[in-house]
Amino acid sequence: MIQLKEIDKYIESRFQRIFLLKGIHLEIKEGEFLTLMGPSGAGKSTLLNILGLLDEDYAGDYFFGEKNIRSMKERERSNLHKSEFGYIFQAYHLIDELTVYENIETPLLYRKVPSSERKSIIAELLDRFNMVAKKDLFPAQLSGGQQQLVGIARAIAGRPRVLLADEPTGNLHSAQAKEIMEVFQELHREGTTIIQASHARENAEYGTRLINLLDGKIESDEKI
Amino acid sequence: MLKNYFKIAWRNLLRNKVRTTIHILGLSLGIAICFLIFNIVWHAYSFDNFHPDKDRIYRITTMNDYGDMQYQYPAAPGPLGEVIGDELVGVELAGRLYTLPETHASIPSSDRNFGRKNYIAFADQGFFQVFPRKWLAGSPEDALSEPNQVVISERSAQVYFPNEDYAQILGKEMRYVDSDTIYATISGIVEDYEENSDIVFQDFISFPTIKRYEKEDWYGLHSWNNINSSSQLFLKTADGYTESEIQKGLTAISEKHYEEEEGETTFGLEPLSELHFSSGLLDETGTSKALIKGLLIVGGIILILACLNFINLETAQAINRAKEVGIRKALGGDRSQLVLQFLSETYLIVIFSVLVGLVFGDLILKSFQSYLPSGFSIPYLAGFNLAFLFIFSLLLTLISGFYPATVLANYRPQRALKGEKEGVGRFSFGVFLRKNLTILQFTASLIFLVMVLVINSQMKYINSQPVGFEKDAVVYAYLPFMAGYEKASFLRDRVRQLNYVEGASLGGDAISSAGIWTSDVRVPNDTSEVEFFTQVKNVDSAFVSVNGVQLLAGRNLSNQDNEVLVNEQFLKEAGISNPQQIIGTSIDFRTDPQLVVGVMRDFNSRSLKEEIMPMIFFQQPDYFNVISIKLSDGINLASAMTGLRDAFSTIYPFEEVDYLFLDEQIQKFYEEDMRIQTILSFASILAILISGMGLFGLSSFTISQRMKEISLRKILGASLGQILGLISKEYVILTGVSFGLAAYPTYWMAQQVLESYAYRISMPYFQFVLGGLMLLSLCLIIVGTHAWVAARTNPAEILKDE
Repeated sequence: MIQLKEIDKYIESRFQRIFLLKGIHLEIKEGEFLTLMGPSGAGKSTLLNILGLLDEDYAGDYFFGEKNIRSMKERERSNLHKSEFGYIFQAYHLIDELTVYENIETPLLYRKVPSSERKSIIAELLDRFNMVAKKDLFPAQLSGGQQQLVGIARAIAGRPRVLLADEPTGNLHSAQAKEIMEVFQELHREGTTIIQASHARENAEYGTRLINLLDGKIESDEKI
Repeated sequence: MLKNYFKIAWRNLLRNKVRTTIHILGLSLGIAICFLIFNIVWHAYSFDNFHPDKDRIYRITTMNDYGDMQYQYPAAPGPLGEVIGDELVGVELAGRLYTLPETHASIPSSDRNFGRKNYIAFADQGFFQVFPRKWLAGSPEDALSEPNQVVISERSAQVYFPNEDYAQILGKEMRYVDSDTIYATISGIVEDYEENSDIVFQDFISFPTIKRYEKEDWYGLHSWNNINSSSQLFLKTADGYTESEIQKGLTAISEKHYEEEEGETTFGLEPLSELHFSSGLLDETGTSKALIKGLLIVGGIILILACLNFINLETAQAINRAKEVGIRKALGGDRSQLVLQFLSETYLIVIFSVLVGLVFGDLILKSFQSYLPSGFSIPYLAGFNLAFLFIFSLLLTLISGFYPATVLANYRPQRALKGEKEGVGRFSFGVFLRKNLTILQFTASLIFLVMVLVINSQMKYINSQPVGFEKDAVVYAYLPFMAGYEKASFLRDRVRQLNYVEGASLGGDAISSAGIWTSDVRVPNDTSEVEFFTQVKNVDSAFVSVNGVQLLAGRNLSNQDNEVLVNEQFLKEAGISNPQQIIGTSIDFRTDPQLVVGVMRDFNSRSLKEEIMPMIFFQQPDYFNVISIKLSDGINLASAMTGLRDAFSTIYPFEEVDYLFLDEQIQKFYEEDMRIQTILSFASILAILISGMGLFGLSSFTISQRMKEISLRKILGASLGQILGLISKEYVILTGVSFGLAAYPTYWMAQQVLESYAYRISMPYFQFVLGGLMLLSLCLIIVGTHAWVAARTNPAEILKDE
């Protein structure tokens, strides 16, 4: 489904190039639950951003399905980005001015989903994560775990095929983290491709594949 | 989607109340000013645009070219009106109008008086063909063809003959008195114009009446060389003729009827659309294009300042919203959707500003009522105003919102989410732009401020200048026109007997007046003769004592004919240095030789914008129009005025009198300048207010950005003063740069203003410095308060968060 070929990402500094990623070769199949591991600065987030089309400033080729991302037009790329990807962040990144309901609604608005359909999707998600009573609260009124649940609900609202999560449990304590990972597992079982970046080995246990990154290079790639 | 945009916009507005208040106040001031100016301009251009074929209607103007001097009059000589139909090709219709200001209207049969009115004129049939109206009684075919006919408008009819049928009013007789008495039979009643029109006349006396009384001479209609501003000629060109073709025909006529040596006289065409901006019909209705232009410029500047404020503050605060942009982009929002979102937020602010602006506009309108044309009001719900507000709010949204929205929408998501600021290098376009916008605002504010200060000191100077005569405690009044010397002298003698009157003098006009009479004079000097133009004043022998003018040499006028006084400037012009030398000289002035009996010290008979002209004083009692009265000191003014009024009505029982204070009239010379001063003061207050608010928002923001730096410096031992200095330094530099930018344009404009005065202060550089210091201190107060609060905050509180 996803194929990366010879991906380089670097910053031009005054005297040298600093490589954030170097020579990344990666193939990800549909339905995989992949964990990127590695110390800080290994390039996990950078790789996720490239995979999620948030960063277009790199060398090498990126195929999504049959198509090369580089040869796509701006509009096509934007549509692909909207329809296929969902994002989950370490710091949740909910919009502070919007309620739980409206936060989940936002990606649907950008996808121009009709109003009635929007309502039923959101109702279903609120129900699934037991947040019906909290739908009119603002993010600041929720605990970290609850915020991350809203983040997940928002990410999957548009029914993306690929879910990208950057340290989804990094700001949570272990009980909350466990809950989040179980949700991931369930989503994976339903067929969603999940790519997560994580520090914690135990999070990788929920997945099907583990890639270790070090200094912008793939150290190891193992099936679990 | 839009609902969502507006919802988040609304929440943002509530969350950041300082920002919202500044934005709404700033923009609403700009909107209020623009809305008012739009209405003033709209009003000015709404005049006389309803007449059929208005594009083909012109007024004839006359130009006199004497080589070194050109005069243009919005009037036509009488004979042109007679011949234009025959001699000019391409004229479909021509209409004559002769205005009769200050004419008395009454009904002879019932002896009902309606007082002096300005709305009476002579008109011919052609006039009603060029400007057709609906006839309520009578018909245009025969209404004005005979002498002694008058057509009145509905409004006049209702005043003269209330509750009478229009058919019954026909045939009744009216009496009009200007200098002479005209009896006229009502031959028609026409509808008044509902629309705005400068053709405000209501009683139209038939043109043939003038001929019947052989009064062409009196009304100045007899000769090609006599151009009287009352004499108006309108024409409608035939279809298919261009303006230049008609103009050629007019040139041919002027060449035929004028001889070369009298200076060249030509005629011009003034389109009807220009009528409102030109003078001539009735002064009270016109608007000057210069005023409109000035207002547009001031309004434009205020609006630009308001927009700059918005742009400035929004781009500065954009960083606060970077995270939101990042999230939205990650969630699939694309650039255009984000731009639209931020624009709709701006639009919401603009809508609130429009509402607040309308309130401001109304307040401003109320306080500036006297500067606006009478009868001007704002039809808030009129289609054009709603359309203006709608389009204007959209435009304003685009102008002020587009750049900040683009800046926001351009944030790259992966960076914005990490909290990185874009372009924090040595040179950041955003910061550069912000500083420049602030400088621009300061510059505009400074220009306004310094101009106000300069005009202020010039006006103070003018008011403190000695004019050469006593202007306090002198009142004057206009006598009924051409009522005769005998009655005037009765009044003078009667007034003189009042115990609070020190003296009374009759004359052609008051010692200081806007009107001017000039004539040429020939003065013998040694063996040759000097010829020059001189100002002429018609005065009596009491002139000198009533006005407290000094005689330098010779004696006052006696009651002899052919005696004149001259002033010092007159001597200078004639090349005579010793005042005694001219006494007893006979000079060539008007028809007979005149004997100079005395020399007066120079005084300013006109505004101090002009130099003192050579002046000659003689007496011509038949043309005494004004009585000037010197009152004693320390009297009860109210009872004195009652006594003076009584005296007047004893002599002229049918007339109303209005005593004017000389010093107040002199102030009127500078009315225009005072208006400019008031408008500029207002504009500069607005400009400073808006810029001040902008600075308030901006400095509060930049200081909050630098809180960490400030806290660290405090920990490292910086004193309160050092921190204040650190923060203020930047703004001192900004003010300095603005001062540099503002200096030259202000200097240039101040020079233009000062040069319009013959008596002027030298360029008041001190006012420039003063203006600069005023702005600087305002700026330091605003920034200083923020900085003070920042410097007083406990650094531990700030650094704890890091």
